[in-house]
Amino acid sequence: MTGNQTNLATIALDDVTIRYGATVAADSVTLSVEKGSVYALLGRNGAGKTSLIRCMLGQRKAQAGSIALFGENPWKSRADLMARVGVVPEEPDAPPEMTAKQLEAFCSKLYSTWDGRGVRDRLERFEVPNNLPFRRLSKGQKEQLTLALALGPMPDLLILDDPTLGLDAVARKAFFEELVGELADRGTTAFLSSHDLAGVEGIASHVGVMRTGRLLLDESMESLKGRFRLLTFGRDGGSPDADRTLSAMHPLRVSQQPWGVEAVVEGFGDEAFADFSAAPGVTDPEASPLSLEDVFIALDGKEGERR
Amino acid sequence: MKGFTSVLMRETAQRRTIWWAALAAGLLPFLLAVLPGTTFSRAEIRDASALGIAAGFGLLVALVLGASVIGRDLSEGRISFDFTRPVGGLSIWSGRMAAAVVLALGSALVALLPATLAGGGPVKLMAVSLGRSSADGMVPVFGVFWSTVLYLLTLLFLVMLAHAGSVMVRSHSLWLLVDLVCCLGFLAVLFLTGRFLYAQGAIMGIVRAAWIALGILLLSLLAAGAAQVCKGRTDLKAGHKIISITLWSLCALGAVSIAGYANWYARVSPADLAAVYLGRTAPGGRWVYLGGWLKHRSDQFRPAFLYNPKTGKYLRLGVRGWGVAFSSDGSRCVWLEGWKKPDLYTADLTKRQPTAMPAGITLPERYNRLALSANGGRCAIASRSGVSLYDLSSGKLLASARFRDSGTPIPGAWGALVLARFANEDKLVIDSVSRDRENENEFSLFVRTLYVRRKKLLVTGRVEHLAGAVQIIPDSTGTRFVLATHESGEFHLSLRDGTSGALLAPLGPPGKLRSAAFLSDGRIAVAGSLDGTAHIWIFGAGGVPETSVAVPIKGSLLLGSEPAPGRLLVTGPVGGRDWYKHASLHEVNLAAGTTRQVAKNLRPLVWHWWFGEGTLPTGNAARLCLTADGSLVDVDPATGRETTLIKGY
Repeated sequence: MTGNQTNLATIALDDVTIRYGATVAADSVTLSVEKGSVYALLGRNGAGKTSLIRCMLGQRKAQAGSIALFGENPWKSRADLMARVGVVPEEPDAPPEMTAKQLEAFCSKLYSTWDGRGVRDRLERFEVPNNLPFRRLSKGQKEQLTLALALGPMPDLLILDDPTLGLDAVARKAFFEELVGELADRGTTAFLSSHDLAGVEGIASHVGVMRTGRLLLDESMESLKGRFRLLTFGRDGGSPDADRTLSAMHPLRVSQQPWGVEAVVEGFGDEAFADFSAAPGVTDPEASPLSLEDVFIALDGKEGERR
Repeated sequence: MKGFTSVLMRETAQRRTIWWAALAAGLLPFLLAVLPGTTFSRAEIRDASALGIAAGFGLLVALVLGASVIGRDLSEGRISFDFTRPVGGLSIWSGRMAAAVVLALGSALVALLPATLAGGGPVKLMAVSLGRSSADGMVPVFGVFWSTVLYLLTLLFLVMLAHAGSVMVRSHSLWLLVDLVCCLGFLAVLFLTGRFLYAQGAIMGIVRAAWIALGILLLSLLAAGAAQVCKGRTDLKAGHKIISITLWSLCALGAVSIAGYANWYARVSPADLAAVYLGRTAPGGRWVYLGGWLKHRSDQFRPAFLYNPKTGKYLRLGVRGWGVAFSSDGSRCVWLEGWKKPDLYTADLTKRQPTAMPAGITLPERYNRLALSANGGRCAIASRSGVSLYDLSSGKLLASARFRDSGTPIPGAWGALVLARFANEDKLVIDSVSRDRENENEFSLFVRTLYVRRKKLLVTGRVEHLAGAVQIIPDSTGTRFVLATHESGEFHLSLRDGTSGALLAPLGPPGKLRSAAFLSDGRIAVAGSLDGTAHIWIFGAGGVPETSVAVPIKGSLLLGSEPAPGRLLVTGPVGGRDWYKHASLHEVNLAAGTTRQVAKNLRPLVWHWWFGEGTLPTGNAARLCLTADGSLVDVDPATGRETTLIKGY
C-alpha cells in the first residue's frame, strides 16, 4: 500500500501489531478500506478481529504500526472521530437502566448531525419499546437499538463488531436488511466483523480473513469469488499434464471421491481451466463458484494444515 | 463541557432510586426518637440521629458509587458505550465522578430533609454543636460552611479512593501486589514522618503533615483516576497499570514532599525563631538558653536552644528542653526532655560545638528542678517529694532522700516550688514552699540540707506564716537568699541565711518593688518605683542599704543584666499590656549614681520580673537584648549600637 492510498482511505491500517502480554492479537496487519466500500473482516473466535476494531476506535493503543480513520490517528483524536463514526459493538453496552427514549435523548445532545426522527422510525419499525430499561430488552432489541443509535448521527463510517452474534435467523435478517438499506441510501463506508458469512456475503464489497492475528486475505469480494472454484472431474489414468495444470490453479484441497476428484482452487482462471480441461486423462471437468463460507472454510483448513 | 454535563446528567438520572433510599433513611430518626430509655428529648434524638444518618448515608453512597460508577462498567465492558461517542476521556471520567459526588451529597441532603421539615433542627444542631466544640476547644472548628466543604471533600476523597480500589481489585492483575507494596511504603513514610515530628514535639506539624498527605492523596487519586480513564480507556488491565503508576508516582513525590516538609518543620535553628520569648544565661555569659515562637510554624511548637551569641553555634535541646541549669563556672549544662518521665541530658559547654549527651537518668516525676555543682560534676534533682544527687560522669546515684513533714505540696506545675543549690560539692541546700496543713492561706518555706558524704537530709531552717506568692532568689554561693513575697500588690523582701533561712536583714526600701537580684560583687539590687519614678536600691552583702539611683522612667523598671561590674542594664516603664514593646533600655552607673538611656524599644534578654535566676547575667550575654518584634540583638551599652543576631518578625 502506498502512502497516497493510506491518505485516501477511510480506514488505513499499516503494519499494526497488538499484544496482550505475550499473546499477539494482531500481527503486522495492513489493510485499507476505501470510502463507500463495505469491508467484512472474517475470522474464527480469537483471531484478533475485536482487538483490531478496538484499536481502530481509539479504545486501545496498538503496540506497533499506524492506524488512521479519515487520515487521523484514532488514539489521539478519538472524540472528534467518533462524531463521524457509528459503532455497533459485539455486546450491546448501553447503560442498563436507561430506556431507548433516554438513550436517544442522551445521544442527540452529543452529535450535531443527529437524525432523531430516523432513530425513532427505526425503533418503531423494530418494535423496540421506548420505556423499558435497556437491561430488560431482548438480545435482538438491544442490537436493533444499538444499530439505531449508531446510525443516528448519520455517520460517514459504520463499524460493527460481530453485531448479529447470538441473534436468531429472523433478527439477523432484519438487522442486515436495515444495514443494507442504510448503506444503499447513504453510501456509508462500513467495516464489520462477523461470523455470519451468509449475511455478510450479500453486502460486503471487500473481505479480509484473519487467523491467529494474521491477515490471510484482503481483497474485493468480486476478485475473491472469481478466483475460488470447486472443481469436479474424473481421472483416466495418471497424467503429468493434468497434475501440472491443476497445480497452476493453486488447489487448496484435493479429495478423491467415489465418482472422481473434487478440488478447491484459489487461482481459477478461464484459460487455466481450459488448459486443465484439455489435459490428457481429465474427464468431465466442471467448475462451480464457492460461497463465502466455503472459501472461508477452505482457507482456514489450508492455513491449519500449514500450521 | 457538553460531554461532561451529558454524562453527569445521565449517570445521575440512571441512579434515581438512591433518592428514595435516602428518603427512607431520613425517616429512621423518627423511629429512633420514639424508642424508650433515653434522657434526651425526642427532638434532640431525631435531629442528632438525622445528622448522623444523613452524613453516614452520604459517605456510604460515595463509597458504593465510587467503586461502581466506572469500575463496574469497565469490568463488565459497558464503558465502551461512552468511548464510541464524541465525548472526551476527561469528560467521561469527570462526568461519572461528579455524578457520584452529586448523588452522595444530594442523598445526604435528602436524608436530612424529613427531620428538617419536621422541626428545622439538624442544621441548627450542627451549628450549635460546632459552637460548643469551639467553646471547649476540643476539636478544630470550621463552622457550618467549612464543615460542609470538608464533608464535600471527604465525599470526593471517598469516591476517588473507592474508584481506584475498585479498578485495582476488579482487574485481577499482578499490579495489585505493586499497589499493596506501594501503599504500605506510603503509609510507612507517613508513619515515620509522624513519629519523627512527634519525637521533635511538633504536634501541630503532624496535623499539618496529615492534611498535606490527605491533600496529596486526593490530588493523586484525582490524577490517577483521570489518567486511567483517559489513557486506559476501555482496557481494565491497562487502566489498572496506569492508575497504579500515576497514583504511586505522585504519592512517592508527595511522600518525599511530606518528609521534606517535616524535616523543614522540625529541624529548626535559632534563625527560625520569629520572636524570642525566654532566655537564660550561663554564668560567664558564653551561652544562653533561648526559646520562642517559630516562623511559619505552629505557636505550640516552641523548641529551645543553647546558643552562643559570639559564634552563632547552637544546640537544639530535643523536643523542648526545659528545666535548664548551668554549673556556676558555666562549663556544663543539664536539662530535661520528655514530660511524663523526663530524661536528663547534659552538654559540655567548653566545647566549640556542644552535643546533647543523655545522662542515662530517667526521672520518675514530671516536675523537677535541677542544680549543678560548681564544676558541673554533680547534678541535684529536686521534686516536691524528695531530692536525688547524681554523679554525671558515671551516672551513679550518690544520695537520695524523701522530704518529710513538708506540709501539703502546692499543686500545679511550678506551684510546688522547689529550689536546689549547691553550697559546695558535698552540701546541697533545698528550699521548698508548702501550704500549711492548719491554715490553707499560709505557706512555709522549708530549708533542707543534704550532707552528701553522710547521706543525711536535715531540715535546717523553716520560715512560717508566709502569705501570697513566694519566691526565693539565691545568690551564686548558696550562702544567702532573698525571700520575696507578693500579696495584694505589696512586695516584701528579706535577706536570709542560705542554710537556716534565718533573717539577716529586711530589704525594705520604700516604694513599689518589682525585682531583686544579686550583683557580681555580692551586693543586692532591688528595682521598683517611688513617687511615680523608677528607682534602684543597692544593699550591701549583709543587707545594709547603701545607695539608691533614680532612673528617668515614669513608673517602675526591671533589672536586666550587669555587662560590667557596677554598671546595670535596666528596662522600663513596666506595666500594661505589651509594655515591653515600648520599653527603653537604660544603663545605670552605680558608682557614679548616674543613668543613661541606651536605646528605645529594647529590653534585656533576661529581665527580672520580681523573680529571676538570682544573679544578674554578666559577660557577653549581658549585652543581649530583645526588640519589640522579638529580634535578638547585641547592644553595645557605651554606644547603643545594635547588631542583630536573630531576626524576628
